[in-house]
Amino acid sequence: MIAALAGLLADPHARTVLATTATLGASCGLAGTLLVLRRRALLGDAAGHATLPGIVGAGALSLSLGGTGREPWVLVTGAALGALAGIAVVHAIRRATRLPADAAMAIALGSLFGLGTAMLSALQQVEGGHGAGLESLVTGDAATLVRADLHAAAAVAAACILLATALRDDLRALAFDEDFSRSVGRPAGWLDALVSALAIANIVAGMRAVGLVLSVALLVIPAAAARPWCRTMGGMMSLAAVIGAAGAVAGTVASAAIDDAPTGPFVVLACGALLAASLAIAPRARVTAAGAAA
Amino acid sequence: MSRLHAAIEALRAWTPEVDGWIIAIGALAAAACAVPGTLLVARRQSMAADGIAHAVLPGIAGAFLLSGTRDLAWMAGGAAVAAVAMSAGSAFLERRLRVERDAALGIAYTVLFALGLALVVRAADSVDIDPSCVLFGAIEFAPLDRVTAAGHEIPRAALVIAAVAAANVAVAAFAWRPILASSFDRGFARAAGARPAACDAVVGAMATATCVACFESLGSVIVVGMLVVPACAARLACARLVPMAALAAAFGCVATVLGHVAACVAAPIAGLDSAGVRELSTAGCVAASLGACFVAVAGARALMSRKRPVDGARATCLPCAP
Amino acid sequence: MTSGGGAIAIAIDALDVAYGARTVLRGATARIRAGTMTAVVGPNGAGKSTLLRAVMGMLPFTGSVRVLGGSIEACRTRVAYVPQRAAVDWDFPITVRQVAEMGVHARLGWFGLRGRRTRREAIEALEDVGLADLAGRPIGELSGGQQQRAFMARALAQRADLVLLDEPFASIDATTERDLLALLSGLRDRGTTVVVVHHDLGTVRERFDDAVLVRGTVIAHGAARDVMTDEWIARTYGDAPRTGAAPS
Repeated sequence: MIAALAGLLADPHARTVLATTATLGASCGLAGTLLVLRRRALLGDAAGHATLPGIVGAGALSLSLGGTGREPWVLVTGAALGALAGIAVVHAIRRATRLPADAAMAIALGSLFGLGTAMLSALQQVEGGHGAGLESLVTGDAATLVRADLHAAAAVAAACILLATALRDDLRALAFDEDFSRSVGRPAGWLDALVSALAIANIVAGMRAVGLVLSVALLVIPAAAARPWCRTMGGMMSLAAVIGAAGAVAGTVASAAIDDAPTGPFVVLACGALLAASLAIAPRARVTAAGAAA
Repeated sequence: MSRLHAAIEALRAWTPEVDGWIIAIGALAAAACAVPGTLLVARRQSMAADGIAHAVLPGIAGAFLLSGTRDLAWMAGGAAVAAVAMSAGSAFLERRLRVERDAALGIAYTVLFALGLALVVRAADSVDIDPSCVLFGAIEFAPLDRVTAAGHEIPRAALVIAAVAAANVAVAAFAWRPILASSFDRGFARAAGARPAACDAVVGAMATATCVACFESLGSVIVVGMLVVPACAARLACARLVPMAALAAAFGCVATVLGHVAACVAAPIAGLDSAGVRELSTAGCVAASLGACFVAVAGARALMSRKRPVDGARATCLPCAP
Repeated sequence: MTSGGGAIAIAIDALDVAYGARTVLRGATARIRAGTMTAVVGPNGAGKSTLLRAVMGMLPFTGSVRVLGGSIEACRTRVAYVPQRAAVDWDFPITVRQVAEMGVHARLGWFGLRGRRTRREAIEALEDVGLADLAGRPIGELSGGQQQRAFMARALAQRADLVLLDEPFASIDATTERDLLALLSGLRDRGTTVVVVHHDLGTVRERFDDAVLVRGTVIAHGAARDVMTDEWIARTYGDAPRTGAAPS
């Protein structure tokens, strides 16, 4: 096992892959903490599913304009736009109706993913538009990662760290007590938009490694695993980053060891295993009067 | 003019044996999803629909791997196990981790879905299933898989879904009072002996059975739309559960028809048939049509109830505690 | 309306608030003088909390509300509000000190490196409410009354010109209540306007300058000695026709 790992590390491509997934895991853990504490965990799920019509649309546009339909920047832009559209749809539904957040997310998720499916079925029939590449975007394939992906992941991680640190007081206040934050005039809408943007950036950066459908897991599970150990939001972000990186690397190594295994599911399963371990050995939260009354 | 012509030709090419059954199967799915979908939305458990639709995947894939067949009984059993694992896991996580319910649900079902994806890729080698089919569905082929019943040849999917639809209605009718009480006020229901937890299990079981019945035709993710979106649209139009469910079924049927029509005519109308595009995925178009129906209902409601409070000093509306 | 001039901290005119079809406040009119400690009293469901929330702009209303001479939007940083029970997740990973620090941030700004000063002022606010020794504890570990005091510390840390408190003494024992009232009186002496929704009529008569009687509307407002009479109290708490007339 150690020998296998050493062998992996000797290979430059493998080093790139591992570095990229580790960075992604850390970045997702950090951004995911904000999502979880802001009680918007499943927004990541809606955004992840909503990327599909964006990607297919961008690919189709590129094809029609003479490209290959699979240029990385095209897919990334399409994914980001799709995720933005998904979140915008969720907000629009919540503002226009009194439906609760979970219903709005389920509506956005189902409809946009369906639209993406329909578009994909069309694209697959066009010459040059076969969906093999796109399918790997759904489940992830770390073997396809290149240095550009490492740079992108590092950039996203740096942005997350910078923004989360600079705005941590504002974000903490908003996540803990939205009424107070608004009552003292803080721009809650913009702060929420920032949290969503960080989540989207992570989803898009992790698209090729972890896939779209599972990216929410990498956002939410490390944060959940860190929760029982931390008293402060800052601590939770740091620990979630570590757990995310560890789970991402473990999952990547595991999927590489098994032939033909897609990376995304194994990263999620590794993070799930870390969550289970954390639950097993973490100190039990003291039952508080407030907690018991809840 | 020729695009419209091509579109009409595409519709003319409809046959009762194929297209008729496609619409029938979709309509039956809408009817089957209406009851559990409405109840889930009313109980503020919309994401549970998402969760169940994702979580059944490992159950079904595991059933394939274990049995080597696509036998319905195995699939249903596997799905049931997976759904129970999801509910139990999510409840445990919510308590132990003190995260909100939706986050706990998300963790449980994404882990299960990941397991399912891993299994499906393995199973694709040994059993005749296509991973993308599991995700996206293939209702176009459903009419071809026929069984004989009462002297007629009926697509297997139609029979199964119809049976589940009937069962859903029967179970809901039987357990109506406790379900209604626990949907509205859990605390009171628990104190009055209406067993809200048992009701949750019943509603979850209905949703699971519906997912298993529909997933072969609609795909595991599209079923989410069929469960939740018509119910939400119906919620906007009425406030009583039984009419809501009926309306949800109606919306689902409308979306099915719209979806299949769109699947057939979208390519000709957009001029894409010159690029080689024939039909789009019906399941995808149905899910997108569900969204369109919801938008239409929401828009109609917004137009009909334009009441704005007139205020002297500029009043800002901040969110009150839920 | 009490004579004796002075600025008006809150001016409410013809305020209507409805939750859906249910009207909670209708035609409420009141003046709260700056630099006073004013009590808002009334029976359950009278609309006292709603009145405060309307002043804070937290719900839609018709009518006019002017706070510190202008709209609430213009003076948010000068107003502190302590709700009856904060709608927060009590399991949130945050310490008592960090809750108080939020009040400092509201005043000093949310960016920059004033860590030590922020910490110091937060501890001071916690000392004022008697929670300094619990500063490092997670908020979820405190009792209900202690949590309420933590949110009061947050409001104190804001050093606002106007402080609104909704039933701040609900879970608090008599001794602590006395101490906190003295604290609020001290604020008032230094020029802060303090508005408290309070249920103990005896305390209101003794310790408060002004009072606003609420029952579906403002029954009366003005100096406590003028307004907290048996007749007005009976009109507010008993079965009496609602009027908006204030004693002169």
